Amino acid sequence: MARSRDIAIEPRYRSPRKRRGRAKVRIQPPMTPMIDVTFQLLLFFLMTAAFRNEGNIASSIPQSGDVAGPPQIGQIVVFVIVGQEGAGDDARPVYAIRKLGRERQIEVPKGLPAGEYKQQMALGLYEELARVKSDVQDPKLQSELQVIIRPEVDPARFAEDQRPYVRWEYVVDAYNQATRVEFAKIGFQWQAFAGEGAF
Amino acid sequence: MAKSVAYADRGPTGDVSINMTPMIDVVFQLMIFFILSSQLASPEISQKIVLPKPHEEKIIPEREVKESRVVVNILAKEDDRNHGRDEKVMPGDLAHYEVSGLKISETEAAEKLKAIIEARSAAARKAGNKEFHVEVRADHRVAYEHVARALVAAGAAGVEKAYITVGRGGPADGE
Repeated sequence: MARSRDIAIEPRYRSPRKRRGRAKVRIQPPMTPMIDVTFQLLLFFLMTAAFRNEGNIASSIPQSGDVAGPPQIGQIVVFVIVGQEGAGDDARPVYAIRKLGRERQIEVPKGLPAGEYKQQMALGLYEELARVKSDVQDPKLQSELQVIIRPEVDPARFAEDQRPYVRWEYVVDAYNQATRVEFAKIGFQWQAFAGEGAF
Repeated sequence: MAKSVAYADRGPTGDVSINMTPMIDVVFQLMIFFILSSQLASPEISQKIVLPKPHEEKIIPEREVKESRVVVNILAKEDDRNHGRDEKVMPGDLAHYEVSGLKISETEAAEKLKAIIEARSAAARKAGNKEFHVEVRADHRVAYEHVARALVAAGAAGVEKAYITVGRGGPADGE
C-alpha cells in the first residue's frame, strides 16, 4: 500500500531496478549483545566496588628517641596519658593530662553507655587540651608546646584474669583530639612499648 | 481527539518495541559512576579490620593522599573464629600483620616488617617518588604495643612519616 503510493508521488520516471536499489533499509546494529555486556560490566563494578570510607591522620616517626627529640629548655611538654579500664567489650578509656609534674584526670559520669562514655571522654580531653594551649600566653612558647601521647597500663584497673593493655582505638582518639587543638608538635611515645617485656 | 494518521495507518499488525536508548544511556551513566567512584578491592587493604572511629576526626581524605606508601594492616584476634578453638584469646591480642596480602606473625614481625618497608621505600625512591609513608591500618581493638612495633619497624627502615587510618562518619562499630 504505502509503497505504491510512494511510487505514485514520484515526480519523474525511475526504472524498477533503480527503485529496488534505492529501497530504504533502516540499518540498526543489534543492541541486545551490547546491553548484555554493559549489564555484565555494571554488575561487576557494583560487586567489586569497595568504598573506602576512611581517612588518614598524619603523624611522624622520629628517627631517634620519642617524638621530636629531647625537649628544649623552656619548652613545655604536655603528656596525654591514655589508659584503659577493663578489657574486651567492657573496656573504657581513661585519659589524663600531665604537665609540669601535675596530673589532671578527665572525669566523665560513670553510668554512661560505652559509646557515649568514649565520646564524652574525647570531648573532655579536647577541652582540657584547648585550655592547656590557651593558658600559655606567649605565642613563641605556645608554638613550641609539645604533646606526647603516652599510653600507660595500670594493672589495678583490670580484673585478675584479664591481661592489662591499652586499645589502639583510645590512643588514636587521644591523638585525634590533640590534632584538633592544633598543637605544633604531637607524637606518640612508642619506644617503651616496642621493647621486650613492655607489658 | 482523533488518532494521528501515522498511528491509524500502522494497523493491528504493527510491531511494538521498547525504546532502548534511554535505558542504555542510564546504564552507561551508572557504569561510569561506579568505575570512577570505586577503587577495586585491593590486596593492600584487609577487609577484616574494624577501624577506630575517633570523635570529630580531623583527617586527610583518602583521595588526597597522592604519594606512594606501604599499608601495614594490623588484625585483631578478638572474635576471629579460626583462632578461638583451643587457645584462649585475650582482648587486645594480635592475629597477624598483613602487608600486600602477606601474613606476618607477631614473632617475626620486627625483622620482616622492617625488610618489607625498606624494600618498598627503596622501590618508591627508584620510581622517582620523593615522599613515602607508612599507612598504619590497625583494628580498633588491638593493643597499642602491636601498633608500636610496626611504627618502630618503619622508623628502623628510615621512614619518617606515618598515616593512621581511621573510619569516617557514623557511630563507632561494636557499640
